[in-house]
Amino acid sequence: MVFGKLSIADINYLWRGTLLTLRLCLTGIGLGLILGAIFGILRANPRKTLTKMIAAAYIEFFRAVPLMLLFVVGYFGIISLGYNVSRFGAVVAAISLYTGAYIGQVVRTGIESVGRGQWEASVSLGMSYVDTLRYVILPQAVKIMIPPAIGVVIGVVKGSSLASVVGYVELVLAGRHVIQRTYAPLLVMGTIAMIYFVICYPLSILSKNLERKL
Amino acid sequence: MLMLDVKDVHKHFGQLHVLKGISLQLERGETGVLFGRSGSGKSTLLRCINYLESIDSGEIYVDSELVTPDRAKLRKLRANIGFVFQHFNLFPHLSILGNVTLGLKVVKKTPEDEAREIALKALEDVGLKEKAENYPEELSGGQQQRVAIARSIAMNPKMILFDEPTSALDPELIGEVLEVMKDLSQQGMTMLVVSHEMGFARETADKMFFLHNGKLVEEGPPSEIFRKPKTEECRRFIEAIL
Ligand SMILES: Nc1ncnc2c1ncn2[C@@H]1O[C@H](COP(=O)(O)OP(=O)(O)OP(=O)(O)O)[C@@H](O)[C@H]1O
Ligand SMILES: [Mg+2]
Repeated sequence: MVFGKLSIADINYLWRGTLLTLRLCLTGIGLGLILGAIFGILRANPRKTLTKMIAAAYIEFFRAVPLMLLFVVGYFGIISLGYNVSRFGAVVAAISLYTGAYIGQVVRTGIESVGRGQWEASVSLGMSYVDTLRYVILPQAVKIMIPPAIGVVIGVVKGSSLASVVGYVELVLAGRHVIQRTYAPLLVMGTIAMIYFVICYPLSILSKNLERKL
Repeated sequence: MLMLDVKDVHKHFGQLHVLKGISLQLERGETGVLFGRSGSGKSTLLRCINYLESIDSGEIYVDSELVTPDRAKLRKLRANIGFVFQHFNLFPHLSILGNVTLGLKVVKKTPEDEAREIALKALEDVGLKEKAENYPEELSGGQQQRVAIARSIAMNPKMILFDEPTSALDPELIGEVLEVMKDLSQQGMTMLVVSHEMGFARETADKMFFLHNGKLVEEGPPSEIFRKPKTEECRRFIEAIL
């Protein structure tokens, strides 16, 4: 058969790893996008509000911390304090917070890159800050945000493999298990690389298309 | 009835004293032209009137309403004051119609079809009804500025402020914008215009204000300002630009 040394059971095992990677990424990145939108908008506020400072602290902190550390602290760290957390809950939380910080920065930069004249024209019509964001600034900023946001997402999909350090059997850890059984590292890792490529490449195509269309 | 009453306004940018006790008035329906050297504080004064800039002391009344930083009051005030910018500042992601209806829909909560009607009327006033479905980037500079004026008109403001509305335009496009402004003035709109278009000022202005180093050093009807300016600075400035 095509996969040589890989049995059906091995292939199924890798498939399960793929699904766990997807599940982690979809949930974690989904929540991260929401966090990023909220904190990015709060941080872009030109007035020095408390929420702006909280958003800035959140974004700066989680951008400075390695994702692997977040996985370890999120799971083993919390358990060591005597709390019970599910492995999935811990890794999703870590990925969400991490993604949220990077997306937050993208959102903030996007908002700030829309010219001051757009704000002035809007408020001169009597529009509020929130209405200006909603009807004038964000529709323009989103176009600027899409390419870097997709870059962040691709980075996080690849980074999700680090969840293996806490025993979450995502794609890479599943692969290591299969290698231990089959002694076929190149074949297994080659397959896994292909799978990551299949997940990530459409995202970069999407980015290019949106960039051209918008 | 005073429409605009600026009383002893001071404004600093850090150490820089930009407005040094400015007082000026416009009656309802009057057109004022504000002129003076670059850096004399013309834009700053205009921007203080709708509080795009804060003031350090003094008072500004628009139709007897004090201009304050209170946000709810400020929104109401700004909805009543049009502002036309040197660089138009149209919303690039919205059609021409979308540009003109946005304030109506968002600020005045005007229903969609009513907003559309008002906007088309405003666009007709500036001669651009047929461009309603186009986007700003498809229009010439002169057309864009006329759309910006329509965007102000549509809000049915008490007064419109113009900050060098034609200085970013190619010379052959200036006339069409000034024509629209002249019409507005004749229809009784109260306008304060920063401009060095002296032909426009002569024909349209009720009052002219000469700003010099943050002070209003001369004011009067165009006939006086052009014929016998009281100050040496004003005389030299007018000679230089005529
Ligand atoms: N936001 C700002 N921060 C600091 N200084 C400013 C700011 N805006 C304007 N100034 C300064 O205030 C002074 C007056 O500027 P203003 O724009 O009002 O002049 P102006 O008369 O409109 O000039 P121009 O004809 O060049 O438009 C200038 O010295 C300018 O550099
Ligand atoms: Mg200016």
